[in-house]
Amino acid sequence: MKINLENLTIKKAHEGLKNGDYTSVELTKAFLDLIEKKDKDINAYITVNKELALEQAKRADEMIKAGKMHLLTGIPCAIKDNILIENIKCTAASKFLENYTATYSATVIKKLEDLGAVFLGKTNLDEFAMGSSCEKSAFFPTKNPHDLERVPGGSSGGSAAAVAADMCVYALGTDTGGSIRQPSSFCGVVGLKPTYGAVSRNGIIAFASSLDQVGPITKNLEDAKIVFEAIKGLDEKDSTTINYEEKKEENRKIKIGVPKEYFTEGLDKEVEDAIKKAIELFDSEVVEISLPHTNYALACYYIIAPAEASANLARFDGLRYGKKIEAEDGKEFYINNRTTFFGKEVKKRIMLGTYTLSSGYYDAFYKRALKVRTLIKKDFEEAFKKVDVVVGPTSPCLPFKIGEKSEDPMSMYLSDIYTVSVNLAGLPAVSLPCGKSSNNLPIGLQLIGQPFKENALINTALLVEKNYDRK
Amino acid sequence: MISEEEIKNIAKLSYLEIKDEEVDEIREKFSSILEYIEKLQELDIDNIEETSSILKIENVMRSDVPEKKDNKKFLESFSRERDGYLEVNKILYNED
Repeated sequence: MKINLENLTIKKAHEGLKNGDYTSVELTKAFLDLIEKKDKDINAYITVNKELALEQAKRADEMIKAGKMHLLTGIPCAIKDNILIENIKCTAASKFLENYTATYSATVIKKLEDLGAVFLGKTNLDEFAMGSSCEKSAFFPTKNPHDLERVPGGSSGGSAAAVAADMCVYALGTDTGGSIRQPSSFCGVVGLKPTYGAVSRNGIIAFASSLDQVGPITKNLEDAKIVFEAIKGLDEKDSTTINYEEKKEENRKIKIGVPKEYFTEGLDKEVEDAIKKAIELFDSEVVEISLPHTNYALACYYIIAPAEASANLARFDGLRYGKKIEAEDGKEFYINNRTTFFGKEVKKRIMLGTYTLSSGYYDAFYKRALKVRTLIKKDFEEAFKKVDVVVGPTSPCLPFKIGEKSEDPMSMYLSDIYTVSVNLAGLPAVSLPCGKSSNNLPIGLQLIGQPFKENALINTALLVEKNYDRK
Repeated sequence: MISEEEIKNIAKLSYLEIKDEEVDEIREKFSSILEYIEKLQELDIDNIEETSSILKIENVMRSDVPEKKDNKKFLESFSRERDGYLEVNKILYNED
């Protein structure tokens, strides 16, 4: 039989498997076939794990037969290529790790495996998750399924494009400064960045450890909730994770805050109109709020994230993982390997981090940024005394053309202006589609929630989701 | 704009090498970011505490139970291995 993969959600695929309309092996094969046909044009996947996926699907079918079925059992998904799956190549889209095979699985991978998930493959990203367009992948750029001349966003651009092009049911991404939400916005899908500490980072190739979080990219909010519930929770291998139960909120009226700082210069007019229209649809009390330090968030982020990255990427020395170029001298060995295998953007960020942490600059840059981070966090704390959820655009611009912003680093960085403050404050946030531009490009609405209240956040987003058709 | 000498020094600290023909481009891109992050100097931060992590977690303890792992897999990921150890080059030397 021919399985219709178009807009196939977790719930729908689950019903299909449960009713015996198809097996997980059949469903997985259908996806693998589609990837083979479609991914030539989109380039969402770096690696397709045909063998592993079919093996997992077979196991899932046995679980289903045995009556041990979870919503995610037998559902094929895609994994960003900075998340380790044991015995599968993991490149972080870097030449450095081109031939690196993971020696263990990330905690989120183990959790999904236990539920009988099927991993179709590893998706493209900007090298080491540093970028907003997927153009900084050391291998190839991914294209936006809505317009192949445009970027899918980044850094989880491969995951977002795979979901948007129906080349998987859902995907995992990572978000350090917007890397789940911005590509979800650009590709017209849903992306959730959980609260810092909600999901384990064990087995994720670290970029900026105080900001990184793993989260789902899905076709609707209901699916995002299912995946989030499956991957969250305390992990003894990540001391920043905590266990928590979110209290069920009684049916009360929610209050929505719209920061005046989000609607200023630099915001695309079509995006602005779509967001304002979406805000009216909540049918809730809407108040204007102020997040006075919004304008400093990006500068703060571009000190803290590279500083942490410069330390995290010190482990790539040519000895322990991936490639190597031989040299007589030890120091020369490290320098040769790092110089040859890191890409330009990664080198720039390592150097930027090294600079702001170096003696004489530490106080002026790094220490100051940590203090500004406190101010940004306090802005949100003040806002949440007045409102339940903060709403605005996910990205100030529409998906841009490949090559359009690759020259000037600042113009690229500015596309993260609404997302980075959420990571600095450690908050949960979701991006969902809220219509399209006149040239048919997706626009994303961002909702920012209170710490460890992902369900309340998603429930609020559900108030408007029904107004927008994904395709 | 940041000087050529400074850029070369940062590269050295980062264990990266910059070719002469790359210096100008890196100086330019680096400077545009530095100019942007200068913005933070406008703020009065005298009595503000630092936030290095969003969670207030103190020592998280667990018992130290050794886990049996397949060593072979780890050894295979080494670039050079001898008798079950990672082999490295000489690393002690006098600076310059």
